[in-house]
Amino acid sequence: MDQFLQFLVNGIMIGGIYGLVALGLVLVYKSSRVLNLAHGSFLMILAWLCWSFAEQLGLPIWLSILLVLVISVLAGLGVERFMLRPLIGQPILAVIIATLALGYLLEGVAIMAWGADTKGLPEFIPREAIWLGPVSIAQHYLWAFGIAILLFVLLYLFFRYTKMGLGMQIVSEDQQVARSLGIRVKNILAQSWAFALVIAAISGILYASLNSVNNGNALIGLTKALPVMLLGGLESLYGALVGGIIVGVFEIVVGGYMDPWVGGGFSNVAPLFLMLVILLIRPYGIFGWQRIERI
Amino acid sequence: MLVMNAVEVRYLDVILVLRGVSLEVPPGEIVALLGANGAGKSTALKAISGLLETEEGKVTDGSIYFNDTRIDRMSPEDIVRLGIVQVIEGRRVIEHLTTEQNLRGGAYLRHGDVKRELDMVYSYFPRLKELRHATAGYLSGGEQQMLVMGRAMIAHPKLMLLDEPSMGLAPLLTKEIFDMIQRFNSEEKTAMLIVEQNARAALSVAEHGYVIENGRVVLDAPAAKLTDNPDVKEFYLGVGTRGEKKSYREVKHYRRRKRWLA
Repeated sequence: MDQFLQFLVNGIMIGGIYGLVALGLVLVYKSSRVLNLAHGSFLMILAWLCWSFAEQLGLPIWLSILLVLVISVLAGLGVERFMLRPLIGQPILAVIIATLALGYLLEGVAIMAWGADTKGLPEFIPREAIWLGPVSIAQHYLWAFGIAILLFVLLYLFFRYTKMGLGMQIVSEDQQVARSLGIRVKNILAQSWAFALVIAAISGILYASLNSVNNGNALIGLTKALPVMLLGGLESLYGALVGGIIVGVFEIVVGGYMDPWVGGGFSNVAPLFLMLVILLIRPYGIFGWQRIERI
Repeated sequence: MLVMNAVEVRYLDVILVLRGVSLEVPPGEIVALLGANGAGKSTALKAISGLLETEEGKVTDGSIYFNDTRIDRMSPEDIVRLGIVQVIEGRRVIEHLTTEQNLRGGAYLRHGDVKRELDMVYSYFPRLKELRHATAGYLSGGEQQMLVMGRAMIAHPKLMLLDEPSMGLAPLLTKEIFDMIQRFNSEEKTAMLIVEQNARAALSVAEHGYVIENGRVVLDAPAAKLTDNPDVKEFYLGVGTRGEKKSYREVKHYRRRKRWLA
């Protein structure tokens, strides 16, 4: 029982991060219907940048993080200007494939710039475990989880109460109507990509601080965040959080109990297995938009 | 206020839809634009609002002026900022947002608190106030029509372009919508250009009317005169010259002899 509780807590903690990664995907999808296959690569490369600023240039870690956030905003605006805008009027699939290409490009750049090493970010949040009865929680996991929740709340408020948030929601459903109301669609798309990449930077740095900085981190975009997004619903913010926690718990609990039997590694497959099941029974996810059909 | 001079519109650079349409909307007036399916009515509205751009269409000849500003090369976003708002055909509410969020979307360009504007819309459509937290996609057709009109009204436009406001609505609802159009026009002094299939309803509120066929304006007269025009009676009001209702067969027969096409 204690072991189960421990798995559960670990799963929830890591699930918060998965949810945050998926949130970046949801933001882009919500505004532009594009599945950003480069999300994981952005997340990986932004964490590498943070490492470079902190370890190679010797900047204080908080300044490094700040710099990375600024870069991620610029990158988001750049993606709209140099990738989305030339593809206006093309099928959505063309844009998705372009993100795939961009992802590979970024991975290539990462290998050229940092090789295939594994590095550690300097410690910027304490790591000692806290004991809650029989269950221990590593403090940095708790911090990461807290930051993820905070971001979810902020984004929820943003969409609920700000004009820019409203604009994003209108653009996501009907660009022609958006333009007829005077909403500048290009700006909205650029803003939502900038937001998504800021989220990528934060989740990338958090994830790297839990594990390490390495090129493999890019994989969580597809192997973790995609199942989370499908489970929670493509357009739903809280769906990403709930989906993240479900996937995190599923992965840790199933992995914890199964790995001794199947020889390890099952936890890596578990989210994808879950994704297959979701696609079969509820293709729009838990909180996704059901297509409204009036009769 | 709005002047279209011999406007020619092409889609994809080849499909000629408007062949030199000229029309005028004076300040504060309601103007009706009538015509059969495919005559180019909606295209004319989109040429004014700039939304042609979203459908690969272009004004290839002629010009459109709004208060001495040439608008036929402007983007739709900038045209809205001049005070021209189009209500697109087909009740395009943002389905997953609530009624009130949709209305707030209409007030996107207004600064500060839009509470007063919301109340203004609710005073025209009390039904929308009851439904303000309802998901727009689940409203009925009439309610959605009210919503898209409210979404345009909330911006206090100088010129409203209405595309088929009565499409698919029951006669009673159509009357309600047109009563509201008339009331909003007289209270807010908003000029309106209304595209309609329902010629009777449109002419009942309009001061002036244009009839457009195959991308050309074929008739242009004050609404009262248009209502009395024997051709308009025949082809758009469905009444024979002697006042009795025509059978479909006879209408078809007369169609071949529209005098303006001869």
